[in-house]
Amino acid sequence: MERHARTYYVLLLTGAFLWCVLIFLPSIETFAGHSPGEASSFSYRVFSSICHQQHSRSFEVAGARLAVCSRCTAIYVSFLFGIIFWRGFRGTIPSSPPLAWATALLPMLADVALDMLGIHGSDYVTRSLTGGWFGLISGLILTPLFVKACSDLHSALSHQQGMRYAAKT
Amino acid sequence: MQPKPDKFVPALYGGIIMALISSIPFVNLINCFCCAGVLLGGFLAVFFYKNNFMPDSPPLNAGDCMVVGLFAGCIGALLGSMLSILFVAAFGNVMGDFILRMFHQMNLNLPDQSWKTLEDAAEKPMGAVNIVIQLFTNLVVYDIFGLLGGLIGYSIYKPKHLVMMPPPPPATSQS
Repeated sequence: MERHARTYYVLLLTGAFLWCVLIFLPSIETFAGHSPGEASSFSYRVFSSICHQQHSRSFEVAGARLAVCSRCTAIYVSFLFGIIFWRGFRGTIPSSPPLAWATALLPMLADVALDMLGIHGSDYVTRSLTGGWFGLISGLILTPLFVKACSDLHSALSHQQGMRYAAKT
Repeated sequence: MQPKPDKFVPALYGGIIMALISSIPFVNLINCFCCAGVLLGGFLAVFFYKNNFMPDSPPLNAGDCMVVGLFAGCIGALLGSMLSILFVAAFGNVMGDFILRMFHQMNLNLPDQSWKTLEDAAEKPMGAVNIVIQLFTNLVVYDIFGLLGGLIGYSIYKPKHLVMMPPPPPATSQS
């Protein structure tokens, strides 16, 4: 991996890791011996706009409810794993992007649809497995694209700077 | 060669779609599914951007799509926050009331303090500080998911690689 690409990869990895830390912040606070306070409130507040945060559908770790539901937790944590292991899984993702996205999404959509229709009740296991599958595939697809996008922007900016420098001299 | 098309207008369209999905009561429940509404806005911004390319324009690249998704997220967060305030001012906190009623019907076993917090959130009007915090949070979250939506758009619409034809084998004279 070239030097800049490695920097962008580390940037993405750090961002995803911090995102997961934010999800686990209420548990970290409780584990450290504090009662849920400002940090937990901040975490719940950040995720309130992107998750229903229902108590009955959220994991509880170290006596504190996580900031997102079990499905979202599985998605974000496995997305982080997707970023970590994307090099090892290269070539396993279907080469057609719509097919790859369909492979990632269908189990989760089926779980939601079957639950809504009353055919099969989704539980922690099905939500975590289908969410985790979606997160993992998303991480594997999006990691190289993010690195490529940042490299594209970097080259465009360098090109612009070069042109400006040439115009000056 | 034509220059690349403008990024602002497609990002504006994507941002408006994002804002509408995120602020209309009950439609905004779609965002409970990993910000699907915001991802869709970023994705559609790339779709509109791609449609503006001419045959002689430079090819679509991942960096452009990421920037279009990021712009759409930014616009979506600003417009969405304004629209949410307008909807609450016009119709009241219908979503908050609905969720509270649903929780009561479900007979959830919540601590008294949680019920109080939920009731306060549904009844009390949002203060200026809360609006600013909400706007800031939306800016960060929508930018991240808009950017990811843009990258998903790129993964779908990226130009197909040109298939390099192998050179013909050297002619051999057969005797």
